[in-house]
Amino acid sequence: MTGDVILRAEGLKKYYPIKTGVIRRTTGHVRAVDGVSFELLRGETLGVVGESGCGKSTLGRMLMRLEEPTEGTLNFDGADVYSLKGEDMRRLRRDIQIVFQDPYTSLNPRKTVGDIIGEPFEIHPDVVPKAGRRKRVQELLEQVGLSPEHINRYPHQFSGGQRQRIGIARGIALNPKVLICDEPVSALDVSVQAQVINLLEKLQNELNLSYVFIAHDLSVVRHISDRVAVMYLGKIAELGDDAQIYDHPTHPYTQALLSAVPVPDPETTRNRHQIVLQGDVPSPANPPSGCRFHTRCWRAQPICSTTEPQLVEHDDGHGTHRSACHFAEPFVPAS
Amino acid sequence: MTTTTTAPAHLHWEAKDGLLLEVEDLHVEFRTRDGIAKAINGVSFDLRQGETLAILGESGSGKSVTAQAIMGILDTPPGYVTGGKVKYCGTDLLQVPEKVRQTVRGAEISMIFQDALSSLNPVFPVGWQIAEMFRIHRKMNKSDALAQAVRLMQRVKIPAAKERVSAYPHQFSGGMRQRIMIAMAIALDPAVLIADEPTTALDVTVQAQIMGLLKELQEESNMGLILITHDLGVVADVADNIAVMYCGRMVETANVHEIYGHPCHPYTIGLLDSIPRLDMKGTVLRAIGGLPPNLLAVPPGCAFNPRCKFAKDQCRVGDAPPLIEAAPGRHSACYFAEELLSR
Amino acid sequence: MSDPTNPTNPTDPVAPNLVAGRTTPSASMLDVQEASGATPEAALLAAPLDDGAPARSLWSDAWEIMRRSPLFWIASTLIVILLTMTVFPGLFTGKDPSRCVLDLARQGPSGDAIFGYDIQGCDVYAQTIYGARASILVGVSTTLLVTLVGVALGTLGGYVGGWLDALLSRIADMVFAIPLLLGAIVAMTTVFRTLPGAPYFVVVGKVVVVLALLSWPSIYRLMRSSVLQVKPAEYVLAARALGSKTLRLVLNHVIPNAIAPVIVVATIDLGAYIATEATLSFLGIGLQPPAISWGIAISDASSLGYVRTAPHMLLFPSLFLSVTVLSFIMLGEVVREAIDPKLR
Repeated sequence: MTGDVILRAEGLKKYYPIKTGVIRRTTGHVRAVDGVSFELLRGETLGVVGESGCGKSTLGRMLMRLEEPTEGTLNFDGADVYSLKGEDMRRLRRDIQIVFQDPYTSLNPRKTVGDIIGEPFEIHPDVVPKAGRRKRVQELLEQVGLSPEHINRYPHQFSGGQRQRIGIARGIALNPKVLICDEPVSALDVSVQAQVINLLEKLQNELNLSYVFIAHDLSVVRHISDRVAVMYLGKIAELGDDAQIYDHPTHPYTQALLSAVPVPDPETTRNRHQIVLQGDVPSPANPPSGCRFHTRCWRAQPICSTTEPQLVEHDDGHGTHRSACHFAEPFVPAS
Repeated sequence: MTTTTTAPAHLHWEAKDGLLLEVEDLHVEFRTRDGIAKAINGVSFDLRQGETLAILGESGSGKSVTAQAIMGILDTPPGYVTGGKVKYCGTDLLQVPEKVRQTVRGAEISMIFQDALSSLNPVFPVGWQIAEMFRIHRKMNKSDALAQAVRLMQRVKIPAAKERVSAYPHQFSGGMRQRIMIAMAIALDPAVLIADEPTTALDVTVQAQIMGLLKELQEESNMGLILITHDLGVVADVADNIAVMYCGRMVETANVHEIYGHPCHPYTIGLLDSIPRLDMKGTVLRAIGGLPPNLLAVPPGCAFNPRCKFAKDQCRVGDAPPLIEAAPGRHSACYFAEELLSR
Repeated sequence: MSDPTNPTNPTDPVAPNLVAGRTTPSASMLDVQEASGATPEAALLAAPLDDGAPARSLWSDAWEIMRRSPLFWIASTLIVILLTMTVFPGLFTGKDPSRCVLDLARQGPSGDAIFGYDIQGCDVYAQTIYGARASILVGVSTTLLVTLVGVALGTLGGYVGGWLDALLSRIADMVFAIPLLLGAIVAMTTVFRTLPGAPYFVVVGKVVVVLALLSWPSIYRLMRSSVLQVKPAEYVLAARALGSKTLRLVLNHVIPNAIAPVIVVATIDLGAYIATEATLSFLGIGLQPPAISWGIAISDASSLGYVRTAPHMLLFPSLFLSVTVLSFIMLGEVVREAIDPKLR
């Protein structure tokens, strides 16, 4: 059923004011998300990768309308999300849900698992009649691989992986169409990560979910995503399917990012051509002019500091995909 | 030692045949309200000059506790070293007086942590904090120590070190703070550096910088490096030898090439199978089922047996299987190590 | 080289992203910068569930800890006795505290009157028993009122924020600057002045209102900061994402998770209110005779300089007062130990 667009973001911006002094005067803005556009297809997984501070989590919250946008529109299945009010917005929340990163803070420690997974039905009472709720919660527990007998337990009695399953059960309780996964496995141990990734994939097939999968771990994103957006300082640097991004990246940032990731294989990883970027990510409160990556880019030319490159199709040697670079081209190691 | 040190004369540590550290049958337990958790059960390993040993494990495997026991910075209570030896240059550090241990800490064996921000004192300038190392251990005066601090900051490649020596920790980025931590750790030219998840909190591009820096420093000074991590990629990138820990025991040790090519403990095999890889698009991840056991209720026999697809009856009873040689230079704590090796 | 510092304000909304994965409070003594950082080993200690494990809430965990504390049993036994004394003083003495025989004035303890008689010739034991009512009533009512006001305003300030928060906080600061006793003396002698002969509950009510008006800022501040900590928690976000209405969100998720420190402080403060009430009565501006209260008894016994000749008149009411105050403080301490995750 992959095909039609279910979620379309256009020009999303989120600026947070920086207030200083006694009178809290606004002296500037943190440009957490600064003009992001993409579309999510029904049944697909769109991976969003980037380093800390690139705005990927803020983007996730904007897609949930947990943050109001400074600018931009979000269209879900024909509805303009940011103009919905009251009851209409509440109805829409059934269709877009979220799974959070930290399984230790995403569950209310004072509620039982039954209360936590059952809360969606308390808020939207018409989804499941009162009499059937307990049974539905138990079904959900089974669906995410937990025992239905755990319904009366409290979150602190579970391990991280189990808690994340509880969070996922809450996320899918209302049968959403889109699930935003905000770093769902990065707080988990290696051996447990795979279980949760497999669970997410299983649920996607069973429920025909569309995922926006936000993560900093490039390997995990490659594994689960159909398409990938690479973010840098509040903007999408490159957008394409997984082979385009991982095998034929054209944006120098993507190329550097990929080359920095060690592969769990000494033979391969020690022979890889590593591009070591200098310095740190600039502050989103004061992003560089022109292309935001030009301060760390080895391909930068004068134009890069003056003119901002648009996210447009570029030749990657095997076809074309979108990249926001004036000099987008496949990477060829110097030697 | 090359410096004008005023350290006690008997502290002349010299590695024999390049052998720096010998940990023998180390045991650590945590006495908690709910019972005794055996965090480490008989861990042994050696570290030589210039060697990078990676201790790989998940949370609760005991890898950080091992490091803390070696450093002698275990929180006591609740943690107690209940057996074993930590020999540095032939001397068992667990037997020497605390005063001697203090002179070893930092000057001979030093450590960097995951969270550089909380490891630095927020109210003092970083240069001052680095200089403090020289003032305490080398009894230098203030200006000499500060000059040394600048030199060190340059050595760990902090740009504009001279200007930034008086900056405070919060004025640095995560990567720069980790560099400062490294500067403090190598200030006194230690022979052993323990890095406990040094890059876990950092972004990948910064991680690459830091790992590169550590390698470079090691090559310059021939330090022994113990890298504690859960990241199989980082280990593959920089380690010479690996020790895989599970539930307080070493379950497999080998050279890095051998372990990735032919793992011979089911846990190592499971780990390698379960991680997604950047360089290939897999289909379904072969996840290890179940969860690591509760340290207060470790299953009898091999601690990994409830999650192991190779487990037979003998794995479920008695003591844990010992770490034995499965092939030359390779050790595994599995009864079926040789079979696994010839798979 | 770009400036790697982060000049954004402390509430930088990007910050959660910057420190992602490292924000979990270290819960366990075993927690030693392990693996992905956000997996405290505490979880591991509690990890796999044997299927017979009972469901334990954080409160029932706290109860388990309190149950094992002797201090808890001592304090709560004393409090139960004191509460019974307040409601059913008749259970403890058959005597009428207001039946006084001047002939017996200042007589020491005897088989007839185990605590002796006071200057009016009233039985000190009966007076002390009946005096508990005023003290406990003032203490408990003030605490309830202060907690109610403090929690409501604190939640409002912390959750809503903005100018409302600024306004409430500045008012709280101003009130906080007034010393409790001094403020109470001024209030009780001016606006809340009581005429002699005013009904008992009116006087008690006035004392309670004055104490509450002066004390709510401490609970307000505590609740506000606690709410500020809870508000960005992901479970609150999750509820918002589910479309939860604000009131439901606050009642279900914010208040239950923010209130623990308030309970502790309120319990400890209860003792302070009782002591203040006694002081006011001692100074003659709280409850006044013929009302009976420990404060009045202490005042009578000491102001006339009978400390040396009839020490029992001072001793017994003071002793009861101290024990009561101490009981509540002890209880507060035990509760704090049980629910404070940092001490676990």
